[in-house]
Amino acid sequence: MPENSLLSIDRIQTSKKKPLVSAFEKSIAIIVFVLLWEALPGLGLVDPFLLPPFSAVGESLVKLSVTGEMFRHIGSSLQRSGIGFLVAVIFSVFTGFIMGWYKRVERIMELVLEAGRNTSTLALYPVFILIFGLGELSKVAIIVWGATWPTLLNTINGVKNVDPQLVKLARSMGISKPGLFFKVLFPMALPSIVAGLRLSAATALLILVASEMLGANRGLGFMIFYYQERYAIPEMYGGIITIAVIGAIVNFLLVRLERRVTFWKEKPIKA
Amino acid sequence: MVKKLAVMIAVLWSLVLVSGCSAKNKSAEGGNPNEPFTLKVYHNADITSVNVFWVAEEMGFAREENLAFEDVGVVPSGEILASVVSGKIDVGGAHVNRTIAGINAGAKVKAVAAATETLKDFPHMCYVTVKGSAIQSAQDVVGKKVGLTAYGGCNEYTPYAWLQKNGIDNPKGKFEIIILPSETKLLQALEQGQVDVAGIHKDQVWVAEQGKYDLLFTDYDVWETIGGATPHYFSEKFISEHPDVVERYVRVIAKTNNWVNANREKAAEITAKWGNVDPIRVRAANYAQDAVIKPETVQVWIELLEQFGEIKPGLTPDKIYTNEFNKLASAGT
Repeated sequence: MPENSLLSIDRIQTSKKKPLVSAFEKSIAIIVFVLLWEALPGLGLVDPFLLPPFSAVGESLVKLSVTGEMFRHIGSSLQRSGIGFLVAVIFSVFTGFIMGWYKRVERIMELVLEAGRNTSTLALYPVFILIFGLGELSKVAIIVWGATWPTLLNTINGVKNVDPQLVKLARSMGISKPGLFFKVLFPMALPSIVAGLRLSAATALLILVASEMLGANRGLGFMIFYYQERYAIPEMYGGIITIAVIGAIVNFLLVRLERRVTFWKEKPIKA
Repeated sequence: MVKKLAVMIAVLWSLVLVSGCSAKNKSAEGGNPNEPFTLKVYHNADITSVNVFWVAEEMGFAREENLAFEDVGVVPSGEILASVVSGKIDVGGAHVNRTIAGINAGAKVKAVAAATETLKDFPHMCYVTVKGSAIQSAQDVVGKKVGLTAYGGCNEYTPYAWLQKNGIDNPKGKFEIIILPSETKLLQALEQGQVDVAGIHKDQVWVAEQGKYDLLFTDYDVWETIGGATPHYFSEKFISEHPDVVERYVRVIAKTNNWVNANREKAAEITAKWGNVDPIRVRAANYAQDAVIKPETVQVWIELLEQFGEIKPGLTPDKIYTNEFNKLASAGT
């Protein structure tokens, strides 16, 4: 009994430590990175003009937040990337299902798909500007173009990898076409689609920054470029950190979404 | 086994670091004194103005001073200062207001030789509209789109100064700025109606030759001859380590400046040949006689940038430039 009690206390103590240890393990890399960033220019190992100390960058972030300028830029960027991402997802999922299910459609579209997918998105930006002009439309359009491919390809793969036995089984039970889609195809393809969404979201943010460096007067990409031109280097790094944080938050939310919609999937055994 | 591998990697890495650190300059410093000292320089993506390094090499001016210029390629104007500070290039030289802003932000560089100098027929910048545009005055620019290749610098502040000179108070924010990466794209955007005014580094003769633009104003209209300085600068580290090289460099630039002023067409041809472009695209600006930096060309921009809050008050011209390496300069500069 006493042994069991001791064992129970041990287990309780170990389980209480684990969240702390886990939190420490997750944050130690960032802490070391920030400390290095503060130390290197401070010790003169890196020219502070090229890499100002982290504290200077933090100060600029606070200033930009207090004046509201940061939120104006964040708002513009989220609006552009949000619209572009949404349009890309709707188009990709719809088209992906058709291409994944109807082999003939896939055969017809395959070459176009490969050509589009393998063309560097940013190399096409001048074309988008020519067609859509310098305003918002060209920026959203290039984001749509770039964010489409990961979700489209993942949707196609998701549909093609649906277990054919399940489809046969459902059909043998007399399921309707809409039923087959909503109860078999869509749920089975969903993990692959959501994985594609994460890639598309990351791509949307990447393209957003580059598209805002041309013909924009708001947005985080514009802000980085603007402050770089003015040699306001702490503010420039502040913009870069903000984009990184937004990317991390978006990824975190999509991971949560992925876990929610794929709760039924067998998890790999961790060491 | 793992330990041995780790030791091997550490040794290899150390060798890489040591060899990288020692290969800083291809010059003969401490080696053969007959070999020229090589300076890393750059060129602009848009080859439409004379490149003094190419001219100096072609005419042998660099060789006379036992110098050589190694062109590392295109460096965008916004990255020139950082490239000099980090040692990726040895010499920088955009508009002096960029040098002022950089020094204000902590860059340890100093200008040593004057480059371009505005004359009425050779302005630093022109601001143009499409032919027949209704934009004829400073007031007409208010609320319009002005296309530039960069924020800050001569691009942004020349129109502000022009608006102010013509009675428009607080000019910042009075027009929308559209940035495009090259003057070619700017002019395309102008012709397509995406911008109303374009700021380009050309002269009025070029503008008239195109037949499709109207000249709105130049920097000469704002400041006469003192607004278009683009002095060459080195990092303070380089200057302290190689003062003799800097002095030789200044002599090369002085000679090249004077030669270009006397041989503009030939200078444009040399640039076109080296840059592999059509000579008709290249135009020679006016260069400061003997490469002497004039204090008023620096002071005017210190005052303007202070006025618009881009730099902290208190910066003085002596922190920006020096003529100490230029024996042709008059005393007191």
